[in-house]
Amino acid sequence: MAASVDLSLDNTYEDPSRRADLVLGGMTYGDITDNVAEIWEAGRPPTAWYIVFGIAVVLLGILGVCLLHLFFMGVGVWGNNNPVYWGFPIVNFVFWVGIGHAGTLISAILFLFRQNWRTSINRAAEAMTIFAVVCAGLFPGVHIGRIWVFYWLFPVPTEHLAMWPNFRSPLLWDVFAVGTYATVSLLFWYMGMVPDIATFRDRAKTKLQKIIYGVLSLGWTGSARAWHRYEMAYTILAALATPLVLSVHTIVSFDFAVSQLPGWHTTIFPPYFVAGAIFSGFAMVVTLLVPCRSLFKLERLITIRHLENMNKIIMATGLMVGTAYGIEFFIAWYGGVDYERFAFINRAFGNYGISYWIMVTCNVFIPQLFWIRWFRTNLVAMVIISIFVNIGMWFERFVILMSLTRDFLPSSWGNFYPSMIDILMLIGSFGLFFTLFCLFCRFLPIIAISEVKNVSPQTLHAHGHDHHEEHATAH
Amino acid sequence: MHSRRPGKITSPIVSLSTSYVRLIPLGLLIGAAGLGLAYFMSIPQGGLKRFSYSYLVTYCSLLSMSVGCLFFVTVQHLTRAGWSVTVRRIAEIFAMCLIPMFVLFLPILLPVMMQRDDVYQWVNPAWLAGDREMFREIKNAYLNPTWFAVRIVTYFVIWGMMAYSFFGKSLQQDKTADPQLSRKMQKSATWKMIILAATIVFASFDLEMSLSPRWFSTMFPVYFFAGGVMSAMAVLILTAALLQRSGRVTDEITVEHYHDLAKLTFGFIFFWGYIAFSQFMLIWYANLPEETFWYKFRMGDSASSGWIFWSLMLLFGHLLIPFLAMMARTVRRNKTYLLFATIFILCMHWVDHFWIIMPQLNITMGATDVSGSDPAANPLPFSWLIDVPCAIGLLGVYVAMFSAIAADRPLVPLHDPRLEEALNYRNA
Repeated sequence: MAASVDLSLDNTYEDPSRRADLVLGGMTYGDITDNVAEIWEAGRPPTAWYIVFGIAVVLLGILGVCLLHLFFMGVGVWGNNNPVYWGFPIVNFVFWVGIGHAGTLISAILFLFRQNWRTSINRAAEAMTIFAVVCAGLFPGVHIGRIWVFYWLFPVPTEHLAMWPNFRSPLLWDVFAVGTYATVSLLFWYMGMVPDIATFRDRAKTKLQKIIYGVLSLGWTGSARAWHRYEMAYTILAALATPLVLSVHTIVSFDFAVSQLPGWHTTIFPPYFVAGAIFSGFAMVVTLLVPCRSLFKLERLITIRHLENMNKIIMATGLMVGTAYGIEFFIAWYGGVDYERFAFINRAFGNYGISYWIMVTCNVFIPQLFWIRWFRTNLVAMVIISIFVNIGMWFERFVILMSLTRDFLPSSWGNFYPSMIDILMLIGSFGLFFTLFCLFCRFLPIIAISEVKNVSPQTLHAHGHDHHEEHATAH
Repeated sequence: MHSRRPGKITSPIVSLSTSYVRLIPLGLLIGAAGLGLAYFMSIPQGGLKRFSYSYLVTYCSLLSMSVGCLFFVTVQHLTRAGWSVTVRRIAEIFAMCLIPMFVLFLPILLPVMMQRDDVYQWVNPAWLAGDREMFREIKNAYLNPTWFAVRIVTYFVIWGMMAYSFFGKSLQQDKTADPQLSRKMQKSATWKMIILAATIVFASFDLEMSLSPRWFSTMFPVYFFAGGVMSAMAVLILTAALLQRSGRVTDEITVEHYHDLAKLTFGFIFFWGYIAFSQFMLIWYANLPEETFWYKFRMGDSASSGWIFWSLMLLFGHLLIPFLAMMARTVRRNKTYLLFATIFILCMHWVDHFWIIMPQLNITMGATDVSGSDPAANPLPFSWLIDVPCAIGLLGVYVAMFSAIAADRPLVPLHDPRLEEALNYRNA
């Protein structure tokens, strides 16, 4: 095809009679492999990578120091008080678990919905998912006080306790839900990566690389039989992972919604939390992938159309979250229960009213900018908006938590102030997240090479020519 | 490998052709007979009140199904879907039924306007007699006949305009083959989806949740929506299968479309179960009296009203059995099997609305308090001679409406730019 370079790099057009190309610039299979593998083969990564990695490691160190401090001093170093027994740790837990939703949604649900564009972003999103779940798991893990008996989280019969954890507690369900989710996400991510790791193995230059990637690739040969089984396993894992996308945040929402506390107990919480999780997860994917794409020169694989689609999903899920806010308010009024009504008025105009309006502004108003095409396709604008979304989603959980400060008994009313350790641990968790993500970018295939090839114009075009000469949708 | 089919219609018959001329009077006749019998049999059991409840059950089942079809059409445009082109027209026609469905709501709406509290207890402010001032003010502000009528008219105007716009543009494309029409529908599907969501939320509150005016659940709109979309997917399969059995659109709707629609049905069966469970579990667990009474009655403390059996029927018939029955790939591709499966699913959809609406008849027929502790005078309000003929009758009218809208128009878009994609789609 003799299309000019400029035209072939723009795939954001709307033409109902043809599907947009998902790989641009006329890349061949070899080009795609080279594009991704060169990131790893490069002698040294870009300077920006060192800067981000350096900052992340410093923050990770701060997290480590905070954790040591916490272990030696106890949970009193946090701002948690009576009645806010749950403070930053649970806010951060829910925040990170929410972020960890995009990966599985992209790799499982979008796969089942045959959204081909997911191929360019699923690998990085899955990696991000796992790192976010690691960050999430940290907070309840260290919240138990006696860290040395963390295994009591699991229903292990123990002589010391002489009892099992309470099966009626949603906190125990969390252990199962998040544990299952982490396991399946990890499997999905790793299994999907095996063919690409084998590509790295085959291109490895040093002995050490050959050994490491050889072991990691599990003896992948790329035979037809191997591919056949791989694809079957992929579909089965996708089907298994789909209910998990719903279940994790549903269970997390149960942590709050099974209670009798106004502002926590409302039946729409499960789907509302899931929508919010996908919302924040996609925002984080945009935040991470836009810089990655420029830094590692992946513009022809992660195209503007991919980013635009993600921004549309951010807008859609943001509207779902906004609808849920609206329904909550309406029912708080319509239900005619005094406590409920008070909780919601207090939420908007009470002691933490400012947090509420930060949440509404970031989650409902700012994403509306995506109605305008320029915001959906402008790299800087979308990163800024996606960061606002993440701020908003953190505040959403904070706002929900702060219902605790105004419970039924005015004598127990109080305020919550985070301690320095609270704040440093939140910042430190970003250090953990970015450290892991930087290492991933450096040592593993950022893009699912084999999957992208499946949806590249070269593949689709070949089919068009083989079977129907006059059909020219691919170009 | 198969050769690609060109994007052309090849079936010999793609419309109801002249059949609709027979289907309209037939449907209306069944409607008159069924509704007439139901009304006649209601007279000794409470007259208009008994009949209206029975009518509302079937009406809400059909309404949520039609709204589900409107959602399907909107979401197909929103996502630029290609696979669904050949089944989209059927959904467009079902969505168009929302226009005449306003007329069918008049038997419920007019008595409300005339201050009759047969169905909606809140029409008569006396129900608030013992309540606090604040509570009375809130309830009267939202639940009053005028405001109710304004809202209902608004929903139908919005639904009608949306359905007409999609259907009209789609028909226009049959004539002009203009791909830009698809683009226009895609663009407008964005804001239409938002309005649709808002109307579904409040319509579910108004039509069904307000039957029990003290009860509230923020999940209720999602529950209404989940059941509606599930039934919409089932009815699309059923309609396609029936049309193809009569020799229509035989080439355009392929087994792949059945497979996909069945997958969506399966998905929404599961989604309905997820929503139903979450709503129930959260209310059960928190155990707050202002919420639990609604479920407590349906869990049938009483031996004679037996609502627990209807609740269990939903658990098994609406969730577990169809979940297993729609899981396998082979059954999703078997048209005869799907025909029976979807009829079963649609019946369960009706049971769902029966279960939402009818307990309120038990309660307002007088002899029991809301907790259901005095069941003696309240046998289960199900009657083979009222509810079944009423359902069949209303269904007859619905079929007549469908036939009148479909008339001799094509049952598949003739020149959709993605027609070729739909014809050639294959499930992996």
